[in-house]
Amino acid sequence: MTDAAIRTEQLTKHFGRVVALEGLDLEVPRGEVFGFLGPNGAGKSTTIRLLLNLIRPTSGQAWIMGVPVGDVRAAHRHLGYVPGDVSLWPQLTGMEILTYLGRLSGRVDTAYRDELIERLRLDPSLRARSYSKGNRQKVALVAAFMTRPDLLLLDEPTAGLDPLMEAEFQALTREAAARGQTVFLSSHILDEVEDVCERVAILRDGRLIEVATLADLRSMNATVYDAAFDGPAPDLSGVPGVTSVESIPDDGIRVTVTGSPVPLLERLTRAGLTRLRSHEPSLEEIFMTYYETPTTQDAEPATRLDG
Amino acid sequence: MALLAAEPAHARTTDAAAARAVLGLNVRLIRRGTLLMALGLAFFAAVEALSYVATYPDPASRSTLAQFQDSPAVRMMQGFPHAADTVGGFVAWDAGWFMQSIAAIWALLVTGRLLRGEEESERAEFILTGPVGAGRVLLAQTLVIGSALLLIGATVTVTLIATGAQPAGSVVFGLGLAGFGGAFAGVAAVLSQLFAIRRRTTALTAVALGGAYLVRGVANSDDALGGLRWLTPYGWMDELHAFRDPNWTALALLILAPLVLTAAAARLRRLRDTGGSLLAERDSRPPRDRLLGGPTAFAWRNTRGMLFGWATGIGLYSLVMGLLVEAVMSFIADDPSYRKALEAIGWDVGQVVSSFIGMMGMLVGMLISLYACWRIGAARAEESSGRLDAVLTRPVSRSHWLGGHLALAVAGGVFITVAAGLLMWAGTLLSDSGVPLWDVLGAALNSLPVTVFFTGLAVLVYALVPRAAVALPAALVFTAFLVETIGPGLDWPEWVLGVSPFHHLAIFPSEPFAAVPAAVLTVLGLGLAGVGLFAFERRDLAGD
Repeated sequence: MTDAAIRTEQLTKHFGRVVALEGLDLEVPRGEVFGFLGPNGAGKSTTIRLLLNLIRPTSGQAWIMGVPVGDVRAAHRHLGYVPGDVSLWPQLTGMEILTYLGRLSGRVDTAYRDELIERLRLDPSLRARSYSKGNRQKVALVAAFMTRPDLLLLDEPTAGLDPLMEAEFQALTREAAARGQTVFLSSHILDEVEDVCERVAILRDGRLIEVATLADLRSMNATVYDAAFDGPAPDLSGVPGVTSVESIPDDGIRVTVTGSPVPLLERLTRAGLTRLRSHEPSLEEIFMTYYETPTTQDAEPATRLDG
Repeated sequence: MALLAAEPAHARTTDAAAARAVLGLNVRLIRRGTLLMALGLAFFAAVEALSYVATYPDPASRSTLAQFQDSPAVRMMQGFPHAADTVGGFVAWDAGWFMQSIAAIWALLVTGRLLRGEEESERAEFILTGPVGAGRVLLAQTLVIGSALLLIGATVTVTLIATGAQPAGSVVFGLGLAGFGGAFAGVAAVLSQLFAIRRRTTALTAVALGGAYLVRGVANSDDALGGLRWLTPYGWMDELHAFRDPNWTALALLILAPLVLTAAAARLRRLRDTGGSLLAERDSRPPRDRLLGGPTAFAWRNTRGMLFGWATGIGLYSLVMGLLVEAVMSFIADDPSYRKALEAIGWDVGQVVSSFIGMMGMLVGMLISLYACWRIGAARAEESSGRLDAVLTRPVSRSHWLGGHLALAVAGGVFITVAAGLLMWAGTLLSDSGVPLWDVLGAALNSLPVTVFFTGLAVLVYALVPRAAVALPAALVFTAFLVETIGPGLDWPEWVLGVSPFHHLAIFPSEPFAAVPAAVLTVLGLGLAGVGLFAFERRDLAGD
């Protein structure tokens, strides 16, 4: 039993002419808490739905705990899943839904289920139609965690939770990891994964652009410059190494550059630089450089499908 | 002052724009269904009119039709013949009740969907954050539904005129038809304020429709009870007699009822919260753990209400049909031109009653096939709402899940078939017509292979074109039935008739049971279902 918790080989999904995911090669070893990051529409949900066999790949293959994802009876014994947008049977109470989903899964630790209900402050005697988005999310979280699955697939699971419940969720995730469960956490917000994940993958426009530990990301060779000018700020598009430019109100621009800063500095000097400060970028800033779209043409296509 | 004056003007323009946007959205939501309804009913009216002209080409044959007005049984089912010697009068009498019922069912489903379904899915909240009040949104929605019904009525009017019906009467009939649908849309609109669940709204309005049909049947059973006709829209349509000396009070009622009910609904809407209801049900209850053990048990728990609703409706209809048998016995035998018409559609004059029972068995089979389409639609609703994700991300295969729904649909079809057969027999017993049980039950069971065939087809359509899961198979069921009931009278070629699965059945009990076509249809149905299960394993799940 040394198979990875998740393995994909050239996993690809096209919806008609729209490329939602292209040639994803990913391996998440057992016991890891893995962050899956990317802007809306990058293909995160598509990937997770492929892993769950809810949609079928255009090409490529994927395995959960060494089991091909198409063999749901075997693969789903290892799984817990929390979607970002939870739909429940409106006329059933929360407890009835948990009972049904528990029986489908086969084995439920009822003591742990009750603890989860307690910790997430869910009232399970209410019918689902009276639940807010956050409460529906809690039902899904309890349903996923209560079977103590080997692998938790979480697709933006905290979308409707308040900060207190979000903290509780992070505690639950850490406890699960401590027990040896694998957690695959998809998000478009770095904060959500920063506290719990060891490694992250970054996805953009259906393509994997980086897999790294957070420590590696932090030590990336990037620098941020705040520059002020005596005239208008220059156009820096096309300057080698520049990954992002944003304007600071009334005070010039903020430029992130990777690799050699020389071309940028030459350009800034020629543009009438009056002041220049540099600092190491925060993780957030590094992260944002991945989100910037390199070209404007292929920016939007997958957006609507991922929602 | 200038500023103060400018603000309301600005507010007015955004209000108007918002109201237009709401109208536009609702038009988009129902325009396809409206078009299908308009075309479907117009096609039905045209086929009725043309078959009338073909069967009764001269005044002599047409005048004999009037003899039917003496039959209380036919009055109970389809009302009184007025001007049945004209195309329009015949269509209104022979098919009016059916067209009204179809229009009303569509209207109540659409109303439940727009007025309650949109709130259930929380989409309505997007709209209500705009500068437009909840009462106004309701008025805009009912305006769209009303316009759709008028369009449907107008299409029928134009069709009738085109097939030679009297223009003025056609207009009155079209208006009446729209008003009839509107009345039940109005009932659904009011009930949408009282109950928070769309299914309940829709089911109760359907009960009101069925109840109205029964009350009308009672009213028409005896002249002394005729006053009861004024209690229901069916009765108003009876009193309307659009094609000879129309009753303007009845028309006024058909137009006023939707308006009054809509105004009441708008009033009630302002009294309740969005997402809430005036008759609040408790949101909290102790868990009921029965039937939560697996996907099929769970599906049974969630759809048995639907099964019993359909069984009750079809069962009551069968009971009334059974009561009619005795009347049919005495009347059809006396009418030579009708006998000729019957021969044209393959009925044996010597066995008029057997043929009638056989045709009723086929009609019941059509209704049960429609049930099967709706039942597979309930599986689709699990998928489109996203709830299926929660099931299929557990160790449950798709075949297991859909196979359970298929098994329940078939079992439900068998159940309704047997219930309908028994109730029809009970009807014949009550009216002393002395028909053996096996003839009646057999007539109902005879259509079962068609139901199995269409259940399989519905599963296949669901697997391949999920968004057409109900509409396409239901339209095919209806078309197949029309082809079989109308085609022979119009001398349609055999290959056209052969397209309809109904055509391959022997009309039991007037003909001996034909085992081979029954077996072929059953095997085909199971085969289609099998292909459907296979295809469903391999497709992407898809939302709305």
